[in-house]
Amino acid sequence: MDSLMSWRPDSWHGYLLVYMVPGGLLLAFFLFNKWRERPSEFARELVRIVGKKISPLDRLKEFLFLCVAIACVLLGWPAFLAWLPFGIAQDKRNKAWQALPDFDCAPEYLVAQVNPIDAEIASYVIDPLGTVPSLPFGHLNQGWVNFLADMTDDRDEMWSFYIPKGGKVGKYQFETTSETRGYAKVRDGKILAEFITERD
Amino acid sequence: MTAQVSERLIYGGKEISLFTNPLSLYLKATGTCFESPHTANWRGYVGTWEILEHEGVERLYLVALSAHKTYKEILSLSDVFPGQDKVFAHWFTGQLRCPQGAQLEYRHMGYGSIYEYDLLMEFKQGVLVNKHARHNEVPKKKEEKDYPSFLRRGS
Repeated sequence: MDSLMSWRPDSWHGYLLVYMVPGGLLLAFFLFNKWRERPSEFARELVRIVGKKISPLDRLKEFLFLCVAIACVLLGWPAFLAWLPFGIAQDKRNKAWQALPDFDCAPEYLVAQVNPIDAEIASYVIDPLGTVPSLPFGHLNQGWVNFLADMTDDRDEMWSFYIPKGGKVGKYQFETTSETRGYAKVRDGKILAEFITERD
Repeated sequence: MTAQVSERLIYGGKEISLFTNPLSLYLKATGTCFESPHTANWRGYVGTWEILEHEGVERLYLVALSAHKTYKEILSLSDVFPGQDKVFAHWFTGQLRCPQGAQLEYRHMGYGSIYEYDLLMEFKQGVLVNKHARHNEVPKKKEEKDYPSFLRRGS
């Protein structure tokens, strides 16, 4: 240990080695992350079954690619280090986006704040054949009850919403194929739940 | 994805295919889901619908249902809607698509196959407000040159 601590570079090989030490640590960090996020045994087996056969040439290419990548990190580690915070932040943003609930309603589709009693009064369905229960929102009553039960915070507001046909909805911004109406639970301008009353 | 078994619509005394799932909003709102019995029926049920007229107003009703609670256990309309022999689809606003005539092109995906005609019926809160037919043509076959160069088959 003492001899390692007292060692000083005396040639360009030595200086290069010292320069590459942080690169080695960064490489270990990348490899650890790669190992931690490796596909499951099941996924690997599935890929093996459906994937094409890997020839010796493919393996050689993969090996060469790995060598080049390692050399890039060892020699170009300052650039990778500068990029690392951005990469981590981007990864966090992606994970947070994935975890977001996927609602059709968006703030731009909100129409007006509504009292739940008024919403119920307006919701009764007329059916001359008498097949709809005399409950708010008819057959959708259970959904309405669940939606109301979730409005527990004093800051929660109920808003009606309307999405025109072709409006962009959800995290993936799909176009709706029909008009959509319903109610949304809104808190501090954010949509936390929705109850759709009509759609295709 | 495999082509999906269609819903059924009793229309003009005949039972025809229906390439729309009007029950989906009801199932989502009430948190109901069924089990898929096979890859041609991912939604796990087949509903039979009928448009019934009363005093000049035509409404959409679910009149029969075959829904898989499990692979073996099949639920009927009265199991899902106790005490009902028909259900008014008051939640449905949108278009029903009923394919008619010969199949022009088979597509191995959802309701993607193309038929000679589509009978299109517009509903507002379960009430029929408009209907018309659309004539379809055989889609032009894509040739290699229609693809961008990076997607063309190698020689």
